Formats: sequence, C-alpha cells, structure tokens
Amino acid sequence: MFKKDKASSSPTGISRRDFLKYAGTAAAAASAGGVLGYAPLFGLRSALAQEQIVLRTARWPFVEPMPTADEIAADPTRQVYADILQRWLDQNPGVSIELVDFNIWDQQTLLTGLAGGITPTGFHTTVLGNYNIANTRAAFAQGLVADVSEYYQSLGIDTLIAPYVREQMGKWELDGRIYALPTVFNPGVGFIYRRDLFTQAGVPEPTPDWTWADLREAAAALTTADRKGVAFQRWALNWRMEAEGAMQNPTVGTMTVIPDPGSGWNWRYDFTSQSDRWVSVIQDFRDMVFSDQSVFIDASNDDNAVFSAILDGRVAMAGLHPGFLRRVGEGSPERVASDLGQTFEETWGWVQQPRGNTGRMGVTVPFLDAISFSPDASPAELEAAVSLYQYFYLGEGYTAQQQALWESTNELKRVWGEFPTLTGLTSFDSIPGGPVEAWGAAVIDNLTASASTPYPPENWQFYPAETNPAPTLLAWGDFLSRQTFEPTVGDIATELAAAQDSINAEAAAFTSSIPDDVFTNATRSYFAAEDAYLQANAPDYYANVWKPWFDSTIAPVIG
Amino acid sequence: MSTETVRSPAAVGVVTEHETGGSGETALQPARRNRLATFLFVVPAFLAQLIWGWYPLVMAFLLAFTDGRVRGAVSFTGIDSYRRILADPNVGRAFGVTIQYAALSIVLTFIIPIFVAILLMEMPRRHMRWMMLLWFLPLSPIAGAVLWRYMYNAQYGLLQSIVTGLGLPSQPFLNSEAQVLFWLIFPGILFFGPGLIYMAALQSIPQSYYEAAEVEGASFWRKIWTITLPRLRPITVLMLMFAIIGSLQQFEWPLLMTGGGPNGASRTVVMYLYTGLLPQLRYSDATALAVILFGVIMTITILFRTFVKEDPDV
Repeated sequence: MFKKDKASSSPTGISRRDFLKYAGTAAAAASAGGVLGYAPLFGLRSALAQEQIVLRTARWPFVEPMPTADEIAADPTRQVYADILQRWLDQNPGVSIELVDFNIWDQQTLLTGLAGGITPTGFHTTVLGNYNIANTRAAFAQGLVADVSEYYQSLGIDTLIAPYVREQMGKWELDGRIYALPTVFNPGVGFIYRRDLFTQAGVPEPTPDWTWADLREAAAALTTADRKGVAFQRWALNWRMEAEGAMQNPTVGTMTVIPDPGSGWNWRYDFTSQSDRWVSVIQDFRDMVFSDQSVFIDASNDDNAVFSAILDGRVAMAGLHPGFLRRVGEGSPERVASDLGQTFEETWGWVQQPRGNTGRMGVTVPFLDAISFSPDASPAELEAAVSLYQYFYLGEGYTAQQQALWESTNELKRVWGEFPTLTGLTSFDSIPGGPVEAWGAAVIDNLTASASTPYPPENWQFYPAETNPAPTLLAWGDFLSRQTFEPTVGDIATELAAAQDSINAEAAAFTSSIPDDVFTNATRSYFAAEDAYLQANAPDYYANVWKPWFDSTIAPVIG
Repeated sequence: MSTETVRSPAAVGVVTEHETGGSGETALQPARRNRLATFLFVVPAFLAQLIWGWYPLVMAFLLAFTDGRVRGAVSFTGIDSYRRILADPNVGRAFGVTIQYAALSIVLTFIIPIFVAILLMEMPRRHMRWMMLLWFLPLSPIAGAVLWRYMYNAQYGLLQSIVTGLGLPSQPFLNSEAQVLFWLIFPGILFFGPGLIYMAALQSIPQSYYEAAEVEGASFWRKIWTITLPRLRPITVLMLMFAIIGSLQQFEWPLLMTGGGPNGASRTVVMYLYTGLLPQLRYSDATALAVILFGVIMTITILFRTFVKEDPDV
C-alpha cells in the first residue's frame, strides 16, 4: 500500500511521508474537535448557540423528546404523546426539544456537566447532593441550579399544587428563592406486605400506629421453614434506631446530636449518655436477626434484593417504597396476585414504618421529589422549560396523558401510578375509577394516612445552608452495620463509645459557616418547633423520654 | 546483511553537505517536509496529553489548596483540606483496608496463577485449551459483581448451599468483617488473574533449557525453581507492579457488593473518596486524599523499581 518515497508514488498508492502528513493532519483535526467539545469550558458556548430556544432533555424527570416515526410505528400509543407534545410546541413557536445522551442520575457526571455548562436543561434535584437534602441545599447555595422563583409565580404553579405538596416546597427554597419544582409526591419508605400470608398465619394486619414490637412479633409468627417474616435492606437498623430517637443527623426527636455553639462544627455527637436505651434497642434488633431468625438481611441487600424476596414469596413483609407496588407487567406484584388466582387487594398491602417502642413516630416521612434547571439556561430557555414542566406535570398535558393512558390500556393502575398526585386530583372526568379502585382500600388508606402525617420540623427550615465542608459521620452507619451482621460482637456500650469518639474526632476538624449567634437563635426556634410537634404527635415519647432529656441536656446550652 | 536494511542519511532525514553541495535548497525540502510531518504528527498527541493528562493533574494538586467549588471563583484555603483529611479517622481506616486488600489480592490472584499456569503448561494441549477457554470467558465486571452478590447471599446464595450441602457450618460471607475482603477477592482467583500472560511468557522459554536440565537429572520442582521462575521474572515484576497499583486503587467490587460494609471493613481509600467525600461536594478534600494516595503509590513504585530487578540473569 505504501510507497517508499514520493518519487515513486502512483495514482494507486500514497507515500509513507504523505501518510504521515495525512495522519498528522487527521490527528490535529480530531484533537481540535476534542477541544471544541470542551468549548463550553472556555466560554464559547454562547458564540456557537443558535437563536432558536433549544431545550435539552435526558428524559425523565424532564420531558420525553418527540417520538420518531419508527417509534410510533413500533408503539402506536406514542402517537398520543406526540400529539400532546405537539400541542405545546404549537403554542410555543421557536422552541424545540433535543434529546441528549447524558447520565443525569450520577452525581459526579451531573456536577462535571454543570462545571462545564453542558448538562441537559432539566434534571432530578437531589442527584446534586447524592440524594441528601443538606448536600443538595449546599449545591443551591453554590449556584449550581437556576432560580425559578419568577416562573413559579408567573406560571401559577403555586396555585396548581396540592396543599400537602406546597407544605414541602420550603425544602427547595433558599433565602426566599425557589430552586426546584415538584415532580413526585412520595408517601415515604414503609413496608409492603402479603395480606394473604397474614390471613393464613392468623396474624393481624399492621396499622399505621403499629410499633417495632408489633413488627417483631408478626415477623416471628410469619416465619416458616421456607420463608422469613420480613426482609430488610442492609441499613435497616438505622430505621429502628431513629424510631427510638438515635440518629447521626438532627431530626425531630433525635437525642444523639447535641448543639454545641462553642465548637467549630456547632454540633457534637452523644451516643453514651443514654447508652442503656440504645443497647437495649440494638439487642432487640439483633435478637430478631440471630435468635428469632425471622429476618432476611444481608450486607449486599439493596431495595431490588428485598423486592425480589417478597415477589418470590421468600418473605411476608419487605421494607420498601410503595412505588414498588405500582410496577406492572412481568415481575410485578400485580402479576404475583394474578398467578396466585387472587385480586391485587387480597394479596398486597402497604403500611408506614412502625413507631418506636417508646412512642416516637416512625421514620416514614413523605418526601417531595423535584426537578431543577441548568444555571446556564437563558431566561427565555428557563421560562420555556418551566412552562413545559407545568404543562406535563400539572396542566393540560398531564390530564391529556392520563386520559390517553386509560383509552389505550383500560388499566386504572397505569392511570393512578402516582398517588397521591401533585395536584391533589383523585378523579378524572372521563375515567371510571379512582386510586381505591386501582390499588384497593388497604393500600390507599395507608398511603393517605402516611401522606397526611403532619410534616415534622426539619433543620433546613431553621438553619442557613451550610456552605463549608461537612463531616461524613460514617462511624455511626459503620457501627450499626457491625451490629446488624456480626453474629458475635463485644460489649455494645463500649462499641457505642468508640463510635462516638470516632465521629467526634472527625467533626472536630470542621468549621461551620454558620456564626454562633445565628446558630443559637436557629437552635432555639428549631427545638421550640420540635417541642410543639412531639407534644402533638408523640405525646408519650415527649413526656417520658424527650422532654426530660431536653431539660437536662439542651436547655442549659441554648438558654 | 541485505542492502534493504541499509538506509542513506537522506532516507532518515539527515542532510549531508555532500548531498546539498553546500547550498542545495531542493535537497533541503524533503527534510523540512519530513520535519513538518513529524511536527504535525506529534503536536496533536502532545496537546491531547497536555489537555487531558497533565493539565488535570496539575489542577488536582492546586485544587487541594482551594475550597474546590464546582462553579465560580475558588478561594485559596491553604492546607485546610490536608488538615481535615489527616484528622479524619475514616481515612486511616480506609488505608488499613486498602493495604489488607492489596496484600491479600496479590497473594491470591497474583502468586497462585503463576503456579496454575505452570501446571496448565504440563497438561495435554487439548485439555489446556479447554481450561483456558473456561478461564477466559469474557464476563462484564459489573455483571460479574451482581452475580457474585447473589451467590454470596448468606441465606439464599449458591455458595451457602454448597457449604451446608458439604456438611460444613454455614458461613457469613460478605456479612463478616473478618471474611469480607477474602470473598471480594475470591472471584479473582477463579478468573485466573494475569494467568494468560504467564502462559504466553512460559511458552517463550526455550525447551532446550529443560532438556539440558533433564540430562543433568533435575527434578520437576528443581526445573521450576531454577529455570521457569527466573525466566518469568521480567513479566512477573511488571505484573506485580501493575497488581500493586491496581489493588491500591480498587473500589468497584466493594462498592457494588457491600457498599463498604460491614463496619467499613471493605471501604477502600478510593471508595471513601468516591462515596464519602465527593457526594458532600468536598472536592478539595477528595483531591487532597487522591494526592496522598498518589504519593503512596509513587513511593511504592520508586522503591520497587529501585530494589527489584527484572533481568533474570542478575
């Protein structure tokens, strides 16, 4: 193929030197292409941008792109979506939607994209903070998402969302500005259970006010040679501890995190002053696992492993988000019921997390998922993006999609896949049936009870966002995982003290961005709100456990 | 020597005075063209290395001295990041886990395959091919991790069934702090580590060495000790260095299979960086930790290159 030198080149071949030149030029072009790919990093994006408004989507939670002709040919129901989207596009000339290949579900990918200004226009909010609210709010404070306050008002979103959704919007506000818009109202993580197995075993079904003692008793009664009573994800001891008031972050009723305004980090961690209480709770959990042997739990257990266990009938209860109940088709609760020759309602139930044995509320807390928008979007792009969001989540597009779903499937479970809805709707004009008809009263009544749980005070409502680095506090989770899995451990109280030392040693190297006086005032307000909430919602816990602790430990600190 | 291999100075781009006749402009042109081609060929690679290799590396060193924000101006914070990292008890713990992991990994997945490769070479060629085929089935590491996670499940896993089926006491597998690292490394033994490379190196040892040894009456083990292992040294030294570096950077399998648990017993340094620091947007701290790990790996590499000789005849 190659000739030795140029003199001997012919129309059918190239010289080695020519090849080197072409290869060099091609490599230079490829390199330049790579540099241009980084153009947004060098501020070239605006120069390359077109006049038209282009909304970049990586699919849910933002919009699906316009289906192609091939997609519609393969799935005719996509035509309905195409028509609904086209209606909005007709009302908004000059706007187009571009599908981009971008993993918006990985925090590091998303943050790298934000650093370079190349993210899709909309993305799931809490990915920013790796699904942690404090981290996500720190990301707001760092300007990583667009402020959508103006469009929240002008597009009437405030008037379209249900009161229980509006109640949680404060989570997505910082200094009075709004940085995220609601996409899903989650009733919280509770327990999916098999109603038929409860009936067969003669065990009463759980109710929203059940306790961990009830759970342990039910799990033991439901355990057989081939089945465990309950399946947990690997961090379930966290749930158990929090239900009794032990946690590594300040949440309502927590007694292990102490405000300490004199220190650099403003908080210290106390696992020892009520050591007896925590040792007894841990021992109770370990007895479930190692003595009763009524629990399916493994260091590798995530939510899919737990879901798979309850679908296969290997367990009677599973600690899971109710969203797992809503799956349809192969490998779904609906299919299991059908295979058993039973109705969905005869087979499946859901209940919120049990209360602690001292009366503290369970850890099921309704949660609002949200969408945020790129800080690089121009005002016109942002307005178009929020308008499109409003159309599909709360407005005409949402209603049209639900009606189209009903017409194409005649399945109420698909129409009422999300419950409670963002808008508070429980019926549609042309659809014969609501959530109860779709999922059964056993599920919907408990979901409604969970969703209507009074929203607890959260520390973000009282403290400014932390903008300095924060400790990981991993020692607490590490300690709990050891207690969960090791069949033989040393003295639990001694190990608690070691975990406390480790976590305080880590925290000692950090300095909060919140000044002491601001912190102290916020702490007073926070604990006053906790006091009121616990009195109203966990009176026994308040009177017998929390209030004596507050008077002896917190009151002297905050005055 | 054939004339094909003898090149004139011009053919390699060297221009002599004799060829140019003292002024030969036309004779210089090919040399210039050659230099231009060389330049064009090298510059893109240099730019690519600069932009995607050295620039991030230098930035990483600098980032550790700032507050490391994702967007906007960063502020110089001195050695705060290093101070936090060095005071963090999780870091010392993660280094301990990483060193244990590296040591166990090298013993189990580096040394054992050398001897397995030697034994495989003794098998009939047909059997050897089948064994190699089974060992080198292309499996996705992620899919492998998911599969092994189910196999290790202490209540429903396949391995537990085998263990109890053999009448042995049931094992906690990934649930045990004492066992978790072994079980994370165990699949590496079955996947034969760098065994294929050893087998290729073994095939390059001249048969005449073994024939001479046999004439002298050397036993099987004597031949391995005196001929095979020394002749494998260049490749084993290289592979050992890669193995040490790779195992010090390990994090995918613990992340996918245990999330670092139980009790942080499988949380390596890189995993702590990725799952502990980065999710909290602590970029400068994560970078400081990465720089410390870089220093550790660099030190080990230098010591290794200084004290371990590759030449089998040294």
